[in-house]
Amino acid sequence: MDTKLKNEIEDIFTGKATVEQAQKSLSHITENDLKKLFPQVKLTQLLNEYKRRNNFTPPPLPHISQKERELIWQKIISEPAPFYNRIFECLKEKLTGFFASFLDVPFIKYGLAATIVILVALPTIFLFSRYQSYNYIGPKGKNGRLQASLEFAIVGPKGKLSRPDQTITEENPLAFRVSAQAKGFCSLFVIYEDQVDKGIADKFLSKGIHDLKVGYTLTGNRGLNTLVMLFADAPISIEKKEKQKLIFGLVHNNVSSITIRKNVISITYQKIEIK
Amino acid sequence: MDVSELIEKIYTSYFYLFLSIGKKNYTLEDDVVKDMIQETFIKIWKNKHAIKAKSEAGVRNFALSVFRNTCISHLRKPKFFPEKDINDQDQGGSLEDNIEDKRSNPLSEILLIEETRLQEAAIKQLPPKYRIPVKLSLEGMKRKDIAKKLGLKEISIRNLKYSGLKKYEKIMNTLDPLRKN
Repeated sequence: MDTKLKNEIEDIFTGKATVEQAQKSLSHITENDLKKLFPQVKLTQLLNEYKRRNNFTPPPLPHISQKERELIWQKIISEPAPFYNRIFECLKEKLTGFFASFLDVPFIKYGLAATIVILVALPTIFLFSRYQSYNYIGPKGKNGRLQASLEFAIVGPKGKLSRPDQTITEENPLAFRVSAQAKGFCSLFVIYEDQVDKGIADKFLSKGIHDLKVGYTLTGNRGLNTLVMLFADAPISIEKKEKQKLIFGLVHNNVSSITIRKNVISITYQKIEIK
Repeated sequence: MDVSELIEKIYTSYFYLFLSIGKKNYTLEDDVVKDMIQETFIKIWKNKHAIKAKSEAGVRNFALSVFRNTCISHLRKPKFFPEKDINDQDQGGSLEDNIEDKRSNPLSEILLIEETRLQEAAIKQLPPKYRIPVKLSLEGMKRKDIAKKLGLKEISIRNLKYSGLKKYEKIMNTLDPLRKN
């Protein structure tokens, strides 16, 4: 370090250092360092050469007595600092003193460090997990709306989806094409005679179009007025019962699509008529 | 050594360096330089809690840049009183002035030379139209004389000086890598 500094100062003396480099080097040096780095004779020699090269002439200075300088200093320190500065300084002193004595005990030192870590880490984890749980389709959608739509389809022989409007037979496994505008969880429910019969899909979807082949058939007790609904889960602001009411309301009113903010942004359902 | 002690040390050890910079680089009158030093140290003292530097050299550099900016601000201020001719200045105390006492030490001399180099570099970086008015202002020339010398109106020189010194201050702070305290 000393050698580096010495070289830097020598560069200043010899004129190799740029203005910026010189400022940088001088920012680390004190008078004592300078004395330590260079023997007196060499320093004087280098300095004289440096002064000559820079045409240095000391400015005529007025003599200011020790007393006068002392007076100026008294004026400086008698200037009261702004109130907030004084409070800040006082707190800093108190806290420094407190921790200086406090931290002598290793147990307290590590305990304190652990407490700080816990205090910082736990809320972070909590917030992060909350953030994850909020990462549903809904809130990520534009305009604060959960945007998703659902279509019916029948899985064809090669596993491809057939046209959505094609009539479904009881034996056909159902598939659902979901277009999600944002990533999140998606739930599908089968509703039969105004009651939620079964949740048939609960998947995390990324943004885009997804084909959910759930292998669900309407064999058996399914008949007219069976509805399949897309229910995109979201941070709950509406009670579960309220949600159910909404769903049933939709069934009764034969609404084909609805947008509800915050909770269920978009529900599109179709009436299925079974042959 | 805490910050208060460091500030006091800088004040006592480098008082004449500040005085020299004020006189040589900003051509200020004796009383004005003393005021500038006082103002600089009051600013530093009041905000000592905000000083990040913990070493003597760090605080010294901080004080130097505050002093530099204080002097430039002083020069930029409009003068309501007629400017004094520098030749009229009291050159009293000449016997003592010539005595090479402990006012000058090698480091102070290096710092003073580097300050001058910094100043020259900053002037060189100024846009051409500001360069001469700023240089002449720093040399202590009166606005009227600069106007006469450059063949411009006095009001133009006032504007050029005002904006030029602002730019000059910015450049000085960019050239000094320790502005970040």
